[in-house]
Amino acid sequence: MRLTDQDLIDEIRTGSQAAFEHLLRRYERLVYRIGFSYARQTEGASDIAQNVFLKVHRKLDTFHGRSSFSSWLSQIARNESSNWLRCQKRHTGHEELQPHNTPVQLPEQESVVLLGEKRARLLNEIQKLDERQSQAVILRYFERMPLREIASVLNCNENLVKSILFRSLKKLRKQLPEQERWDHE
Amino acid sequence: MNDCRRFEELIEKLMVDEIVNGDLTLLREHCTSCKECNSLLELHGGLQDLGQALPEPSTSELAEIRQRVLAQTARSPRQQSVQSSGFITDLGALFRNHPSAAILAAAAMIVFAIFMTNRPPVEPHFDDELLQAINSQAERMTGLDDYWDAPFVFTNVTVRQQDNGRFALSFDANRHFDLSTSQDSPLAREVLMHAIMEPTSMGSRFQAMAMAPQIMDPRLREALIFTMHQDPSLAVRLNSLTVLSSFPDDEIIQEALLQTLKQDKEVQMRLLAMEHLTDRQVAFETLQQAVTDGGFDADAALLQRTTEKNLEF
Ligand SMILES: [Zn+2]
Repeated sequence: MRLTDQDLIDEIRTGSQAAFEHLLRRYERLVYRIGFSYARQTEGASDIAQNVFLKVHRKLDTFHGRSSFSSWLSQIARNESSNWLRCQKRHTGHEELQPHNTPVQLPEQESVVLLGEKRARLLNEIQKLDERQSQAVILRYFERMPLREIASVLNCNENLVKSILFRSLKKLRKQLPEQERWDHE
Repeated sequence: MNDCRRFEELIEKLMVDEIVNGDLTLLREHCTSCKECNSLLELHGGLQDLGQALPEPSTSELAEIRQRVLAQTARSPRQQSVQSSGFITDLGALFRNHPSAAILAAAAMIVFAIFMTNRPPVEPHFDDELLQAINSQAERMTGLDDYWDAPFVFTNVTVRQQDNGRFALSFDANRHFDLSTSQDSPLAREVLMHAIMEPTSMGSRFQAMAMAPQIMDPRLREALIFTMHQDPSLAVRLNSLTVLSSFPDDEIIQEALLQTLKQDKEVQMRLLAMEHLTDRQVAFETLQQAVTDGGFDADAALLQRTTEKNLEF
């Protein structure tokens, strides 16, 4: 019988390390993918994933089950990813040097190798959307989350999610030079 | 040009898997001849492709992460939650057990409110956190570009004129708001701008356009120009042209009118633009050039008639 997230959480609360490992295995890919979509490099994604699970372990008592565990976890992953990006910017001094909205160039190299130039470019542009927009795009396209769940993560109604997504699409189009728009690789 | 709004709605549906098959076929058909919509459709495909292409971690990478996490969590046992449920709920308990405390607190709040109202009036004062955020966003907004980028999406927008010279704003932005603000508050401009472009209600667009001249500024001008050029309804476009024409010295509006003369597919729009432009004493050559660029056959004759009529006065 498959243990539910809640079963595992109950076990972890009593101190079971095995249950925690089980939960980790269940969600490590998801967390890694969220991390990668922000960090755009594998080392960053690993760092983020590690921090996220440490945080989950520490903060499990603050999870009250009002949302699903996966959306709580995703939220932590996104926050952690944003923090990670912020730290990178600080360390490389990019934040001071570049005007607002200019992306950090730093982690792009690896994503170019892994994804190809066009995809890396698109990923880069997603980071330039404002936070709510990039979140919606990441949830929808990378986490393949249904509309209803995105609405609950963004704490707004479904119609708004649709508008946000559509606007993001328009904005991305504006950001991308015409010749670099999509033709499949 | 104006058909695209309909197809954009279909793209919006496609993005969240809500499009039905027949519509998808229609959309694809439209995209074979419309570059704008096609670029959106392709970008949607690009995002899907990117989502699939994101690297999956290797088994060894995952094992490493797991090892590091488990090693650390084994060393540091989990934090136990503190049972206190926080200040607010503590207050709730206090009031339940001691109703007089609630009365005292209410009295204190009234005093505080009086204190607040005695301060120099900073209007508008919003005690709602979300509304505050929207308002400070509105203060920063400078143009239509900001409109597309705004973190708050407004729906269900109307602005009504009140007897006391204020605006009654009504809109959903994550949730619904009803409030009254002074006419020249940034929020009033912000909501009015959204109302001019409110896609779901033509009535709202008309109402908002009628109020825009009172507090005209570059952003509202941009919204009106956008509406004049892009609104799917001819009636709305005509109305917005009329509103804009009441600012005779504005060169940006003049430029926008020329654009309408060049490209609006309805002859009524082009004719009206022509009339206003001749009223403004725009050089005949400029008008002729716009008409030629537009390539609508009958326009040259119309222009001739309009200028002649104008010369009679
Ligand atoms: Zn189109």
